[in-house]
Amino acid sequence: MDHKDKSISVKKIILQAVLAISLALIVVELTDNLANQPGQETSKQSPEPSKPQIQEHQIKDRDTCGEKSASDTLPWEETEFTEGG
Amino acid sequence: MKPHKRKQIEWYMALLALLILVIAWWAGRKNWEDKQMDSLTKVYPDSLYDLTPLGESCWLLEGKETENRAYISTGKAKGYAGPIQVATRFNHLLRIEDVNILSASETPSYLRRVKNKDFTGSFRDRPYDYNMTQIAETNAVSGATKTCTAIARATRKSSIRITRQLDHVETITPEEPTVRFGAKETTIILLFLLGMIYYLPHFKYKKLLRWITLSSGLLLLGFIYNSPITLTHINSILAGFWPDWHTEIYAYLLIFGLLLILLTSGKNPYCSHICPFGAMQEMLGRLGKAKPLKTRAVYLWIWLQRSLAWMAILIALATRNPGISDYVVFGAAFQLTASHVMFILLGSMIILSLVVHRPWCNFLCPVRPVTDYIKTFRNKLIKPWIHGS
Repeated sequence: MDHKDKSISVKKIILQAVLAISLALIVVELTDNLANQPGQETSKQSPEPSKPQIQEHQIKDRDTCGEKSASDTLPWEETEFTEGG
Repeated sequence: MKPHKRKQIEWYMALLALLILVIAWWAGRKNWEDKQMDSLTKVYPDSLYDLTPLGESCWLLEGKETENRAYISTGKAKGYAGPIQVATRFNHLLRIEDVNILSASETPSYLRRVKNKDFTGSFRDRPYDYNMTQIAETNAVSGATKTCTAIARATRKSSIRITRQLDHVETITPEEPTVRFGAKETTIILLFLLGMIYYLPHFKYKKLLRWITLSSGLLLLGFIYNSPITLTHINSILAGFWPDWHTEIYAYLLIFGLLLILLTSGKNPYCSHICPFGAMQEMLGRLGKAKPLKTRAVYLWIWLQRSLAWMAILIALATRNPGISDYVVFGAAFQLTASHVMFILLGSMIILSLVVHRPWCNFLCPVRPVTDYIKTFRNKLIKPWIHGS
């Protein structure tokens, strides 16, 4: 094998080594994705639910235009709620 | 090995691969149905909370150690790769306390980006009837607009559910989707048409046309619309998570346009003339005077590429998560959204492209083995029928 052939085959080996590293990177990425898929990751601790209130409130009276109404006090917010009602 | 013998072996392997994919699809479907409730109890563990069902996908949540309570309802909407399911917690005033993603099929790097930016935090303290899609429009995480819109839609659906459940609350009416057909869809049709003109036997300006389609593909499908064919598109369709035809006509045009051309003509204009990353590699190759990598291990590389693509589809079907196994570098190249590993991979592909002709397409891309696979079936089943008639 002359010098030129030798340098070509060394070049091919280097290029294939880069390809093999790229392949290994893909395997790392797939493994990482599998380990961190939604549902398998540890869920964050949800904060406690809000204060106990009654389930029956007069929401139908509300203006349902999307944003909070001009008055910050909503009809049912004025109601005195009983525990666990 | 003789070509005839090799083709015969490839045919049997293709059938075996298909059989295993069908089994994975069936197993994945079963697993996915079981997983829905598990995800909710992961967010609200039994040890801390009592979940009392109120109706379909609605619960009353009570803390075990306190007397606090809230309403939970789930909603689902289509994201980039498949459905995103969220659990929305409402307080006694039906204001949103938090939104948790229960399951998602998005490309992990995009989903991580949405989570890191705390997109779901923008729903906090909003009333149940707030225009959620407006939040997606104003607060969407750059590069993950579809994921954000799907989270907003899913949150809205959960609001609709809870209002239907609590009959004393004014019910929200669902939005009517509108059909979107615009410049992106027209571009795809034009590129496919130009790609097919290239194959006309007496067409004189093949070289010029090819560079026009390649540069248009890079600029439009790559940098402007960010819509190349990815493994996620293929996985989504195989898993049964069909894109919304109102808003994602382009995905149907890309996948089914290519499928139609492959089955009827056996040509693949997408990979050779349209793919934006293919175009990027060819342009880099011109700069570095790249040559094809001729090696004795060529079949080993082809089979590694095919095995990797097959494995990725298998994982997506078995986990019912189309985005989880997508390893294309397009997100890193055109949207600068990817994991560190993918950026390193992109860097190595850019350097290799300077000396090797299309290294990604020829050795690593998962789309090419899929098109080769379709061609195998076409040559075995459709070609003899076309030639026979």
